[in-house]
Amino acid sequence: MKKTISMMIIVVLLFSITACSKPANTGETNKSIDEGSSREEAAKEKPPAKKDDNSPKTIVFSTFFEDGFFVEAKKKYEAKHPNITIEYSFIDSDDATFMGKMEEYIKKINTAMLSGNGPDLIQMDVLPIGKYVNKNLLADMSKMMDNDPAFKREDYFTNVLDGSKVNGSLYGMPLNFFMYGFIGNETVIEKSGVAFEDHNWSWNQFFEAAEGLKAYGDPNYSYSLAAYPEELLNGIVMDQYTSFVDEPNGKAKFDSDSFIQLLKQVKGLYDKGIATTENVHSIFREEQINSPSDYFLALKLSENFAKGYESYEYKSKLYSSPKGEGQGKGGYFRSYKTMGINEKSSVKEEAWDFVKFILSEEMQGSRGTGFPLNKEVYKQQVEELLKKGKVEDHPEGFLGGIVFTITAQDIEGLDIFLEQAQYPVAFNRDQVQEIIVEESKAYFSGQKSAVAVAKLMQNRISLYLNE
Amino acid sequence: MATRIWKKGVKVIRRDSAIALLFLAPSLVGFALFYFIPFVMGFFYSLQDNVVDGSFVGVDNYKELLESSSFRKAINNTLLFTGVSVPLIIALSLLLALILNQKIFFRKGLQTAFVMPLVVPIASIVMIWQILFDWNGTLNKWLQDMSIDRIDWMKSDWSMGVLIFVYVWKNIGYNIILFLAGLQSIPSDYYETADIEGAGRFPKLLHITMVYLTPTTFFVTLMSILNSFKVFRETYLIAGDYPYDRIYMLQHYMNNMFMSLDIQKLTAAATLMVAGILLLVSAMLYVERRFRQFID
Amino acid sequence: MRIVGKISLTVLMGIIALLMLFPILFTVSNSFMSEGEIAYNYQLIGKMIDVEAGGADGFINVKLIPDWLSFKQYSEVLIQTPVFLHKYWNSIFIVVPIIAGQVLVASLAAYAFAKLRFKGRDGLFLIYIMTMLMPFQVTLVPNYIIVEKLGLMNTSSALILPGIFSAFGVFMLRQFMFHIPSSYIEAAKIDGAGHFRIFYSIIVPLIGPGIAALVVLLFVDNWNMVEQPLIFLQDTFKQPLSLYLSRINEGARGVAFAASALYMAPMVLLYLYAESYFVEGIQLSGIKG
Repeated sequence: MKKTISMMIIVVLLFSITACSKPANTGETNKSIDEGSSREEAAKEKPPAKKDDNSPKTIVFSTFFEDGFFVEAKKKYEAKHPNITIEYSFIDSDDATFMGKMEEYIKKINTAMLSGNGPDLIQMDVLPIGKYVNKNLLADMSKMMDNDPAFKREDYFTNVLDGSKVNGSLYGMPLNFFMYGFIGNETVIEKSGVAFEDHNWSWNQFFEAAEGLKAYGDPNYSYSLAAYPEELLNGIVMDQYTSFVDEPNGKAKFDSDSFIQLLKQVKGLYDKGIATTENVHSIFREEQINSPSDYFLALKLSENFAKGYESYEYKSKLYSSPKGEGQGKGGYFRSYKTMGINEKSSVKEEAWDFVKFILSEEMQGSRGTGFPLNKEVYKQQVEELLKKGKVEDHPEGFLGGIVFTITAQDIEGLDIFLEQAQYPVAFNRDQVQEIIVEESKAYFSGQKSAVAVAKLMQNRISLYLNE
Repeated sequence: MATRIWKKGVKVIRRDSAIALLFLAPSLVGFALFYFIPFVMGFFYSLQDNVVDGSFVGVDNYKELLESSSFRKAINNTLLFTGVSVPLIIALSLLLALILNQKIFFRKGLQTAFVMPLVVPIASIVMIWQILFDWNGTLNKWLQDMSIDRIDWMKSDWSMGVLIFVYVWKNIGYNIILFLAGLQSIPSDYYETADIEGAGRFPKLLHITMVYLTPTTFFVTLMSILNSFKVFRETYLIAGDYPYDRIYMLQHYMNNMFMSLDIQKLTAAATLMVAGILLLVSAMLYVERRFRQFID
Repeated sequence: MRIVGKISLTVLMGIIALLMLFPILFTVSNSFMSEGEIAYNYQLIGKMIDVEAGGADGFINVKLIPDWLSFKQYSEVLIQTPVFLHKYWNSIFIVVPIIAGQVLVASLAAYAFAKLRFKGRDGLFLIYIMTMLMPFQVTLVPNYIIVEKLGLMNTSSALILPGIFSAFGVFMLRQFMFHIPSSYIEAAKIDGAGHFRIFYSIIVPLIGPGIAALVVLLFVDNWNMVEQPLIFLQDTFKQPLSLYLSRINEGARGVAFAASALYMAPMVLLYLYAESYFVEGIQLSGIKG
C-alpha cells in the first residue's frame, strides 16, 4: 500500500508539471479555434471602439458546420480590411451524427453566451433564436439598420426581413431564404373542372378540391398528394397553432374532439386513396424552391415526369400552400444562414460591417444556396437566366441533363410569390412539432388508436408548455 | 480542576485546527475554486433576472418556478422515484452484500457478477432497454404470445417501474462494493470478542455489523440519491427531453432550462432541491454524530 | 440441512447473477456479429411499422448467438477507425491523473474531517456534500467562466483538476476512517508519532479496502464522463472515448457492440484486480504491534 501511495504522489507531481508547461492551446490539431486564448488576445488589443480607427480587431465568428461561402467571405473581407481578423470556427464532425452534433453545438454556444464570452457573430440557424432574444443575448439589428445610412432596406426583400422579426425587431439577418409552395398539375385540375382560389385557400378547401379530383379520376394521376401523413398533420397543426395550443396559459388541446377529428380526417385521405406515402406522381406536390433556376426546373421537370406514358402533355403551375382558416394571403419562407450579433461583443460595429459585406452583391452573387436577400442579386440571377433562355437539369438528375427553354413570362409568377412571402417556417422543428410527428406515426401506421395517440401528445406537449 | 480540563481542551482543539488546516489545504483550494465558488455564483443567478447584466429580483424566479406545473410534476416524480428506489436499493444491496460476505459457493464469482452492471457502457444499456421495452420490443412479443395486449412501457405509468428496475439493476453493484468494503473494515476483533462472550448470529449482526456499518450506510444512502439523479442520462437517450410525464424528473426540468438558457429557473430549482436534501443530510449527520460518540 | 440451505442460497444468487450479467453477455456476444446481422436484428427499434402493410407481428428479438462468428466489428473499430484508439488514450490520460490526485488529496482531507477536531468541521463537511449533489448544469456557466479565467479551456486540465478536487473521495474515505478506533491514534501519539506519521503508517493501511473501492468507483465515474469534455474540449481530437461512445447508437450501431466491449474492458480488469483488496479485508490486529 505504501508503495502505491508514493507512486501516486509521483504521478500527481509529474502530471502537474506537464499540465503547467503546456500552453493553453497549441492549435495544432484542427481548424477550430481556441476561443479562450484568442478572445483574451482580442480583448487586450481592443481599446474602446471608435469608427474609422484602424487598430487591429478580431471578430470571432461561429457556425455549425464549415461553409465555403464564409471561408471565402473571410478571405475577401480581410483583404479589404487589413486591421480586421475574422476567426472562423465551426464544429468538427469526425464522428457522431448530425443530431448529436447539433445538440452539442447548442450546448456549447449556450454556455459560452451565458458566461458572457460567446462568439461575436453567430450563425443562428440551429439555435433557438427566440430564447436568445428573450435573454438579451443578441444585438438589435433593426436599430443597427436604422442608424446606418449606408444600409438601404429597399435593396433587400423587406417582406423576409419583416417576417424574420422576433418581438418586433430583427435579431437575425438571413442571408438567404427558401420558398415553399405546391406545384400542381394545371392540366388535370382544369380538365376536372374543380375550382379553387389558391392564394388563400384553407386546408379544408384543399381537401375538398382533392376529393373533387379523386371523383374526376384522371387515369394517370389517382393521388392528389404524395406526402407522409405525420408531416401533413404537422403542417396543418402549425397553420392553426392557436386553436390547439394556448401558449400564454400553457394549455394544449390535443385531446380535444376537434384534434381527434383532424387525425381521422388525415388518415381518411390515405384510406380513400387521395393521398399516398408512396413515391409516385401526384397532382400536388409540396416543393421547396431554392433559386430562380430551381423554380423552373421544378415546374418543367414535373411536366416532363409525365411524358413518355401519357397521351397528352401536362402543364404545371406553382400554387400557394394551403393555410389555416382565416390566415391572410402570402406564402411561406424559411430563412437560411441567419446571422446574429452577440449583444456583449466589443466589436459589434465591425461585426455589423461584416454582415453588410456578406449581404453585398459581391458576396451574394458569388455562391450560396437559396434566394439571396439582396434583390439586386436576385434580379441579376433572373436576367442571366433569361439571357441564357434555358435551364438544364443536373447531368445526373432524374432526366439526365435535359434542357428546357424559358421565357420572361414564366418568371412573373415567381416574382409575386417572392414579394408576398411572409410566413416564416422554423429552420428546425420545435419540441411541439417533434412530438406531433413522433406520436402520430403510431396512429397512421395502425399501431395505436387516435385517442391514445392524442392523449400522449397532450401529455408530452403540456409538459413543454408548462415549464 | 474543571478549568484545567477546559484549557487542555482548548489547546487540543487549537493544535488540531492548525494540523487540520494542513491536511485540508490542498483539497480546500481546489474545492473552493471548482465547486464552492461556482455553487455560490449559481445561487446568485437564482436571484437575478438575467445572467448577463442581470439585476436583483429577489424571489421572483422562485415564484415563477413554483407556478410551473411541469416543475411541480418533476418534484412529485422525483420524490416518488427516489422515495421508492433508494430504500429498495439499499435494502437489496445490503442483503446481497451480507450474503456475499458469507461462505457460500462461488462467492468470488458471484461478487464479480453483481458488480458488473456498473461497467456496462450507456450505449449498451440504451440498446438493451430499447430491445426489451420498445413498442415492438421483446417483452411485448412475449405478452402477445401469451395473448395479452401490448404495453406501451415507456409511455404509460409502467415507465416509472421500468426506470426503478433499471436504476436498481445498474447501481446495485456500486452499493455492494461499498457495503463489502464497509463490512471488511469492521475489525474482526469485535466479532472474536463477541464469540468469546457467546453471542448469537443475530445479536452479532444487529449490535456489531449494523452499528459499525452506520457511516457506510450514510454514505451509500447519499450516493444512491446522487446516482438516482444520474438515471436521467439513460432516460434522456431513450425518451428525449419531454418524455411521458410520469418519468419527467427534476433533471429533465433542469436540463431543459439549460437548453432554453433559463439559468435563473435552473438555479432556483437546484437551490430548492439542495434545501430539501439539506434536511435529510442534517438528520443523517446527527445520527452519525451519535455513532461517533458511541465509538469513542 | 445446512448444506442444503447453502446450496439453495447459491442457486438463487446464481440466478440473480445471470440477470445482472445479461447485458455484458449480450454486448460481448453481439460484438461478434456482422454489421448486417445487427442492422437486420434491431431495425425495428423506435419504428412504427404499418399494420396493414403486413408488419403486425414484427418484433425486436434479443439475440445472443451470432449466425456466424465475425470479427469485422473489431477490425472496423480498431483498424479502420484510428480515432478510436486515440480517444482511448485520451481517456486514460484524463482518468489516471484524476484517480491519483484525488486519492492523495481526498485521503488527507478525509483524515481532517474524520479524526481531527476543529471549528466548523461539520458545517464545512455539509458544504462538501452539497456541491456533490449539484447537477452539472447548475454550475456549468460559473465553471466555464473559471476555466476560461484560468486559461484551461480546451486542455485536459479543465477536466482533470475539477476531477481531482471533487468531494466524492473526501466523503467516502471519511466514512471509512470512522471505523478506526481513536484508541489506535492515541496509542501512536503516546509513542510520539506526529499526525502525518499517524496518517501514513496507521490510517492509510487501515482504509485499504476503502481506497481500493474508491479507485474503482472513480475510474468508472470518470471513464464515463460526457458533459464536461463536451463543453470544455472543443477539439474533437482531444475528447475522450466516452463522448464518442455516448452517441454511437445514432451513428454506427453496427460497430457499437465491439466498441462497447473494448470500452468496458479496462473497467472490468481494474475491478478484478482491485476486488481482492476490498473483499478480503484487513486484519486490524496484524498491524497493531
